[in-house]
Amino acid sequence: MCSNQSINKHFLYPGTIFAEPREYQISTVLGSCVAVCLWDHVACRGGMNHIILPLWNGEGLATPKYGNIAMERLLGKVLSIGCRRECLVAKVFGGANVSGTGLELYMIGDRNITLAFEMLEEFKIPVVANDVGGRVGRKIIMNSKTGVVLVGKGKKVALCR
Amino acid sequence: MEISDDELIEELSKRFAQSRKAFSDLSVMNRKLIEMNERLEASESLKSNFLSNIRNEINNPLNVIMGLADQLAVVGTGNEEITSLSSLIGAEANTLNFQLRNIFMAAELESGEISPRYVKVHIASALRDLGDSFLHTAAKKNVSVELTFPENADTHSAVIDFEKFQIIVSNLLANAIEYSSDGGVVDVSYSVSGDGLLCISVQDHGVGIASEDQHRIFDRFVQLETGTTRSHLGHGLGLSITKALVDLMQGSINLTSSPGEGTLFTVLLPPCSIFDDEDSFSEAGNLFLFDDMGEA
Repeated sequence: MCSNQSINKHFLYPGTIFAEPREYQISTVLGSCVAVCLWDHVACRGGMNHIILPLWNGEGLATPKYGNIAMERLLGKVLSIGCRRECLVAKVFGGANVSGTGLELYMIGDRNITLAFEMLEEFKIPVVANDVGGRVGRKIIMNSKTGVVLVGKGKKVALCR
Repeated sequence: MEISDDELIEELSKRFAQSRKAFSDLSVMNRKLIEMNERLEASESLKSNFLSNIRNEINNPLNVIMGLADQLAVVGTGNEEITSLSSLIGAEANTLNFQLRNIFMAAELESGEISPRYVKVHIASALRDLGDSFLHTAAKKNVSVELTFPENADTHSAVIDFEKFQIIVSNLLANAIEYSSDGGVVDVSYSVSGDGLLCISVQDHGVGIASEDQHRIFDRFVQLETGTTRSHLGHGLGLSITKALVDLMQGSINLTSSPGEGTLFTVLLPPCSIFDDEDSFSEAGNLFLFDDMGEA
């Protein structure tokens, strides 16, 4: 999977964001959650968020658990580590309907996907790859230097609803 | 009733015009909402930046005050006045420290740049220390904190994020003490199930929370009693932080309460081993690779 064993690793917990100027292997596990990877193909660095719910409703803490906040925060963070907005590209993953009932939590997965794509369109960041929807969970591993994202699909979804 | 083609066309155009107007009204409203939302988000992010910037400015002097209060207590051993004054300074500085840790934790949670840092913790000692740190506050309200541990508590340790565990329990304790009646008792207990699930319960016998208000208490800045006449201290952040921290650690928080009978908060924290599934998805050999982004 990764030949360089000394690479820094970061496991991205649901509702958090991560972006560092150094090379990192960022991994996360997705069910109905959606992760957006932003990567600057010139500066060769980027980051990832992990969206649990689409919109913050003004209650509770305004954490990046909510898509609208997570997208703004991730963009802000990748720009702060030296990425340039016009060089950014995005990859979107997750948003599965894990229980397969069609009614699952008011289709949170679908709403997360829609929100991620809408906000990327608003930011004018092209989506160069995506693997969304379906009925099984995913594990994704992003290399923040090369922008390569590995995707594994399976039934086991330990972390995300 | 017969209508001519002309009348039909006229009626249709009228209706189309109405729809167009409704649509344009909606678009205007939508634009306004988007602008309002952007302003709200900007103000949220300003607040978060401000908090992370002032963190050190506040923490350093406070740590100095706490350290000096401890030293003063040592230097003044034997002099009752100095000992009591230094312990008061220490207790008040501790209270301030607790509130500030909450505010900075909220800022950290809102920035999203936070991850649990798991360490092995002896739960009984950790709870005992936390109980001790609230002795002064509890004494002021004439409330006692009783810790009940399982039989084999001395051998129990759990792998948890210690700092976040402290903040979760401190907030529940602070709340339980604040809402206890004079002479009340706060019961704290814990258990660890066979699969490593840590369950912490904090029970007070105070005012309780009506069922219609229970869904609101985890919202930030919410106190059920508001205005200048409110009788309880606090900023309404504690439970929203507790909830966000428990969520971050994939746990759950529940409450059982009825007015006049007190409140029982139960926090369940799963063991961190569920995150060690490094290869769970690659086992089936179904990893695949997207093309390098260079092609974009």
